[in-house]
Amino acid sequence: MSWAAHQFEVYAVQAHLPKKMRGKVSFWAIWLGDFTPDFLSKFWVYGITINGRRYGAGVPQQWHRGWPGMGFTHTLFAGLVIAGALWLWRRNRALTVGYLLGYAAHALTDVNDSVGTMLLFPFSTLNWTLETWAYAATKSGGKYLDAAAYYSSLGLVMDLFWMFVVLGSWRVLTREHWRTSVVPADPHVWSWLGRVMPERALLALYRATFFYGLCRMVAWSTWAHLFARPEIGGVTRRGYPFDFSWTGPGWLQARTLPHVSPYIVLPVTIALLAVAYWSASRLWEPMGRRDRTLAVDG
Amino acid sequence: MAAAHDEDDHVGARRLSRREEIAWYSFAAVTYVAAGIIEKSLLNWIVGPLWLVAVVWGGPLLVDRVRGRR
Repeated sequence: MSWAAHQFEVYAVQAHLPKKMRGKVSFWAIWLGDFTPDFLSKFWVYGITINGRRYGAGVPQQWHRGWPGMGFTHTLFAGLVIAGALWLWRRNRALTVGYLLGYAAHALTDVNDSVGTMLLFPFSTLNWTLETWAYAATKSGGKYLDAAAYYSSLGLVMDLFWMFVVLGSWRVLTREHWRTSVVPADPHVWSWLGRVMPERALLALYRATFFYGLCRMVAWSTWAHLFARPEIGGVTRRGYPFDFSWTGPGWLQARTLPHVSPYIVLPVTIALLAVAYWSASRLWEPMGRRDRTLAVDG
Repeated sequence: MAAAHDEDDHVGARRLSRREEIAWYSFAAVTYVAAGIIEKSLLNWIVGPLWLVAVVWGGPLLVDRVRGRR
């Protein structure tokens, strides 16, 4: 799974919208679309322990990304269905398109771990994975081992990549961008919040997901490499060792599910990303003609 | 609604200068990372964003009150 990458990609999507959509796609819809897959499935992956007894998924990767399981939450199909329902309910293209793009970003980013996602669900229940780093959520290791493995592997590089994508488009984090592009696309939400919150708090709220991604990346990495005392191969070590090899770290067995050949995953993923953007772009004007919010405003 | 001062926002709260903003965001980041390393359960998508909002919203309020600025 990906960690801070999912927080950073919300801003990356916001920063790289097609020109005609800039200032018109809901930031909160992108945020919700990007967070929905894990909202629906992740709570049971690590499980909870009450009175010494663990309640959670028996096979975390099967629950999280497989079928049967909640793997359908990490598919473009689920994103399309929910976005379609949103459109039928609200007739609001800012919400619908934002949600779909956020959802697609999450589902496509997660092809990088060794479990991957069911990209062609419901036509196929095979997972699509690039095996870039090890999926490490286990019953015994829980969140700590997962974090240690992720931040010792190319997962850390993935987080840094997305962070630099956002920093490369740093204007997306500025007050000016928030005022001119983010607020106008979500006027009701921001004006409702603005009834009690000062501008500096509203702006902090907009930046808060980036802040959270950055801080959790630093905190978990620092803990894993400076404070943790893991026992690996019968030896107690000072911090988990880095291993930037493919499907690393090698000190842990990567979890997996039946999947397609990794060699076809990258071109298909890029193609699906392009299709998602192209479809959103093509549907933008037709949706605008049926948009209730625009009709009222107009 | 017209702001009372140029540096005031729509609810009459003081806008932060660039330097103040950097200081408060940095303070929020350092304290959250330190607290998160000590208590990992704080590293979640609810506490993290709220931490920043609380520091940037409440911090200047507190400092202004102590200094008797407002």
